[in-house]
Amino acid sequence: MAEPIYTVASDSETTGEDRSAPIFPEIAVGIDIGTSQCSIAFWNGSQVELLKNTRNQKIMRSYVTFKDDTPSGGVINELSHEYDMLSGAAIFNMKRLIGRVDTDPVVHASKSLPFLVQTLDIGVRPFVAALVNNVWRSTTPEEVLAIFLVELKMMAEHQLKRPIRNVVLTIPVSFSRFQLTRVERACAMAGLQVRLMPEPTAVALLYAQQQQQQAVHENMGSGSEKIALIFNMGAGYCDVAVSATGGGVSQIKALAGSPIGGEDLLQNTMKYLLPNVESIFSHRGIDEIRRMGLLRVATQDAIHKLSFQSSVQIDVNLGNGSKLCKVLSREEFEMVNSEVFEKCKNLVNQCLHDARVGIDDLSDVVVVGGCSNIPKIRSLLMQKSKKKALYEGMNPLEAAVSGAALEGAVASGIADPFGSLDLLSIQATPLAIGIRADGNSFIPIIPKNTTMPARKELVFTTVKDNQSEALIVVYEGEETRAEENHLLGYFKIIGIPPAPKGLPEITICMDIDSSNMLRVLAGARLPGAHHPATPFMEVKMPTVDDGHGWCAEALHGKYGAAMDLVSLQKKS
Amino acid sequence: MVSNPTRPMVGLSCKAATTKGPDYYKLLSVSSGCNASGEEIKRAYRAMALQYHPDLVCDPLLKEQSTKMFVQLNAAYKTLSDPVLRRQYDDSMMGLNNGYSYERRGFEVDRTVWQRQILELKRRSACQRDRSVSWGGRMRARNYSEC
Repeated sequence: MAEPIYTVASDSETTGEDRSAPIFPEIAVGIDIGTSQCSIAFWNGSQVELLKNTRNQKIMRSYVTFKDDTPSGGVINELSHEYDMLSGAAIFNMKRLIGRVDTDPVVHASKSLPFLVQTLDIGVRPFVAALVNNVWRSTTPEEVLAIFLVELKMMAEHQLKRPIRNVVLTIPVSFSRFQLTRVERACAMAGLQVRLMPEPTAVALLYAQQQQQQAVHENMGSGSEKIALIFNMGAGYCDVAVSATGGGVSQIKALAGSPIGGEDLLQNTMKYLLPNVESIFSHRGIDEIRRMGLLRVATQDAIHKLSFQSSVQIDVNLGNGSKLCKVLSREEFEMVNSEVFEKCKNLVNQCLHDARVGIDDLSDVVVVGGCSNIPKIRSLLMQKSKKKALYEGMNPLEAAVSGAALEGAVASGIADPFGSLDLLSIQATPLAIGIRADGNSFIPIIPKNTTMPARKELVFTTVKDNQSEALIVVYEGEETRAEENHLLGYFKIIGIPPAPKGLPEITICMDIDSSNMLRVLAGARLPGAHHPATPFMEVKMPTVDDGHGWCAEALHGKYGAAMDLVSLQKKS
Repeated sequence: MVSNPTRPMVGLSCKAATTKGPDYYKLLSVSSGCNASGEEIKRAYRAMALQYHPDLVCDPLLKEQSTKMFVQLNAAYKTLSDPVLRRQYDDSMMGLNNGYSYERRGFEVDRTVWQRQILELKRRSACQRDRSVSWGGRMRARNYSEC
């Protein structure tokens, strides 16, 4: 135990508790918990394998049923029929709600689900509840997520005959760091140490492995670089990535994502089939929930069929004497959802633009996720990329979880004799991170699509003579106005030496380490001074907790511009 | 232009992003220097990433250093993989090729190369340590570190 310890930098001490043990002392499994479906995969020594539950399913449904006091999830729970979700006791689609406050449009769109989602529009978490014995039993998205995780963990431990402590969990690109902390909290509740991986980057890693194996097989050495466009659309989220792949290394060049998905297609179609759908179900009685569920199941079924046939007959008895009989054509479905498809196209355009990649540079277009069978989605991507065919090499429902399992194996440091794990996923930041300055502007310090780990800094200055304090409000997002981005936290630096405005140099440095932890360092000094006037403050982000959506507003109300900053124009 | 020489930000080690010092070609181990083709630079970056990306460094003590190294590699790759930035960089390196600046640059190169060598040596010794100890020893060490 007399090994020398090389750590000298003081900043590693403050985070030492996170690093003292290797993150992956054993092989991590990959988990994909989608808005509607979940799955778990592991590296079996030679390849990735998906686990099956007792009903022989590899892809399980993401819902939790509350009965009496014991909730049980869709992994283990035996549900006889889809219609069991009509009682109001089944909670699902929680991935769409995690880490969101009740002013969020995505939360409002979830109010048509057959259980209770109530909003008060004050910036706190929504009230979510299941109907159990005629009483509303409240729950949280984190609790529901933790139940899935515990069930998947138990299933894997039983089958693999070893304890599972480490997982790679896939997440949507558009999740803010605040949402990530909620996901991490759910994992902690389930007793799991987690590494989070954006879904399309997991798919990109699987693609990199397939290309590498092909190159080895064809004896081409590491091959030349291939640019892939990855499009992943599930029930809740649409994600796009552009990756550059070669020699087993997958480098993410750009990411784009939005909370649009199959759920929006479903709701638009429901509204089209039954225009007064919202008023019919406004009361949330047991009957309304039942009818809402019936319509949902029938519409879902119809949308699935429209992927393979040009029209579908819908026949559903909604009770109360009302009956819905209608033929829905594929054209109608596409027309009703034209806005969703337009948004998908915009995400692809944006991602290609951000990656600075031309359509001719694309080697492959990979389309995965629950919506990948929809003809309009496929034609849209083929049109956009001017390709006659999409990439065929992977199962669209298993790609993300397989990629996560690969990342788990790679990060665990195990070697594969055939080189199947000589892989690396180089990630990029999905959103810009910066501070509020120059009035009410968002000034990015780490821009979007910066390769991670990353470290960047900018210099700011004071707005008032003899200003001794400055407020650092950290945001994440892409909007120019600060308050339209996700608030991650705030702190103030004090003891700025007295000086005319515009003179002190306030350096803000942001650091994302290999475990994706964000730290913000801030310090002030006068030009020419060799030492900072105050010791550098180092703050881990995010620091805000639930229900703090109004903090930035309150800060502004209390302090006005008294502690503001502006960017310092460097004299050249 | 040279009137504002490198002014280190005291207390912050963000120098990789701000100093004009390091020779990006040497950093990426591109043997043919500024004559290298785009494909050569890509290949070199991938090889260096496989060696220094912190995800592939299992020893937690080396993670910090490999992270710093990888951030420098990225700065180099970002410049050299962009034709416009690369030309600017090449020009600036030619222009700096005299007097004080040259010496500074030489120092920076030496420093990064030196850092890399140290890191590589530590990495190797960590690997050997792993291999030379018996299975039982490794398990004990692991259990110990998990406590």
